[in-house]
Amino acid sequence: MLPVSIVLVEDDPGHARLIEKNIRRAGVNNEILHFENGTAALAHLTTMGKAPMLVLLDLNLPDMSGTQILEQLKSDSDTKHVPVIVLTTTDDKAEIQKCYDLGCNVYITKPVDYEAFATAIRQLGLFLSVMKVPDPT
Amino acid sequence: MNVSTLADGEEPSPIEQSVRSRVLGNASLVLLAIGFAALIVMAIAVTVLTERNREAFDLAATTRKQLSDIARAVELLENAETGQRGFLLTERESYLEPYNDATAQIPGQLDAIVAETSTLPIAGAAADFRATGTAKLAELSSALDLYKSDGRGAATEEVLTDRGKGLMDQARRDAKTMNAFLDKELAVRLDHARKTGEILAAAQLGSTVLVLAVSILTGLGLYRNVTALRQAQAALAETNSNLEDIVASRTQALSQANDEIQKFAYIVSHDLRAPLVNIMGFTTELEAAAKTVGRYVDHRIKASDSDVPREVVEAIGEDVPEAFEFIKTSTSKMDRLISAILRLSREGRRVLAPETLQMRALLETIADTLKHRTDAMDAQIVVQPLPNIVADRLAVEQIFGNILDNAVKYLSPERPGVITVRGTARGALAVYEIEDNGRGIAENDLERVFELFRRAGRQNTQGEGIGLAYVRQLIYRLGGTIALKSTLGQGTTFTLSLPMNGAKSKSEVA
Repeated sequence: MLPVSIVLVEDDPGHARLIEKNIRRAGVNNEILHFENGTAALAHLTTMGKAPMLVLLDLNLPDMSGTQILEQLKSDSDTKHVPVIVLTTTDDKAEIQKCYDLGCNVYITKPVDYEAFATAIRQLGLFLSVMKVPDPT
Repeated sequence: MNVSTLADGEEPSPIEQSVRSRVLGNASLVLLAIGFAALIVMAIAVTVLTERNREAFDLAATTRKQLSDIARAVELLENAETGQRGFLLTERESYLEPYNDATAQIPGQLDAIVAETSTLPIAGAAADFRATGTAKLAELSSALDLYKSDGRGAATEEVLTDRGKGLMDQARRDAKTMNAFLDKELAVRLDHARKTGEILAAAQLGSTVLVLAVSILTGLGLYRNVTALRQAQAALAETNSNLEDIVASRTQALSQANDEIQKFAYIVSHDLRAPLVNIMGFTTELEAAAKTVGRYVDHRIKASDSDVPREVVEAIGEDVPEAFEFIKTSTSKMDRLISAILRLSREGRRVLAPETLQMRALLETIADTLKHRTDAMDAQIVVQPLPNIVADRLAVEQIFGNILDNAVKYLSPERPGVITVRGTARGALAVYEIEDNGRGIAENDLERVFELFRRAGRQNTQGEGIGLAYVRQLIYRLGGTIALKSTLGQGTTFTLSLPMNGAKSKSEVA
């Protein structure tokens, strides 16, 4: 069984670092691939075929909206089973609804309060450690 | 969009026009009053002149009667003489008839003449005339007596003395004297009557002209008033419809501007949030790291061969924690402010659902939620009967909730608080007043209280300074306005105008 890689799509390097730190603190040691824009992330995701992975997606990207990436992933038969966790600053109800409608698995609002932020990411880490990624075959 | 262009280059307002036409109306009223007064004067003058004219004619008629009476007397005397002479000539009784008729009338006629002329300069002549006439009658009578007693010859003898002719001539002369005077008198009186008649005719003509003039003036005045009234009505109607257009277009402009601000606020607050996550996150990371260093320094100090410099101890033990404390307080505050802006912008983008609101019940519910606070402060909220409106329930609840919350928050500790909510329906608007006897707001802070993150007065209560900015935004969204009056130390009154039918105005704008 191939190890599950975590694809982190996050334009803010600070956020990416904080997320990574806290995931590691939760004891998750999977490979984390960080992309700072949507184009690069999509290019990687579409060439990965059916490799097991998990996407941590920010919605506010410089070149496109995260929802576009989400839409593309969920419309491709190769990647539609890839779990997508939206992790963003937006807590707009309409935006959240849109993401769930497009097939996102979890939606997390980045809390400004760091304690809450760290807790959320660590819980996500626990969640990652127990979740089962679909068998790519 | 430049809304002020709508106010430029306008025609005089209907109010100005009505003032102008009222001034015109006053002028024509004065003219009319003068006209009517002149009419009354004319009517009196005509009446008086008519009376004078009648009197003048009466006087002339009196003189005429005197003249005709004298003529009649002379005629009677002549008749009497003719009859008597005829009888003496023919000796037929039938010739005496005119004589008998005349003699029966002559004394009365002569007396009448004397009476009629008693006040005139010819009174003497009249008396003479009577005397002559009476003597003439006696002469005629005596000749007839002679005829009866001595026969025709004696009577003829008597006539031939010319005494009778002399008396008759005398009578004619007397009459002539009187007539001469009376003719002159008649001429004078007729002339006077003619003159008064002319004046009367002129006065009548004048008053006819005046009646016509006043009628025309009245008609013109009425016409002008009616025209002015109609114009004013038309102008008013036009202004009203224009007003609705202006209100609609301004409301639309406002809501567009508002939408843009909402969008802007939303984007800005989001973009501000992202770096804030980093600041807070790495500050906390840094704090953790500093604590690790601090623990190591503590450990080193306790060691026997401690060579930790005092500055390091101070820096790690006091300066660094203090700095973290300030950074964290400030970032928390910044987060709260950004959250508030986000909340505002989110509320601004919420779709409103207008429904009929029982305002009194709604306000009483809000008052109940504040009851534990008002009871503790010995204050009360009085809700009077209020007009109901059609509007978004949540928005209206938040508007009144915020204002009442503020009113309670800023009650004066010096007196028992009373907050009164009252309202009236004014056309298409419901106007609500929330009056308190709290600490009030200084005059130069009145506009400031509506600004975001601004607070007025002593800062002895909690708050971010968002409430009233939020309230004003909600009211604008509902198509209303908010104003406030306040006296520092005495209390504040908020006046809210909301459309009675918020559903209607909303759909019109859209």
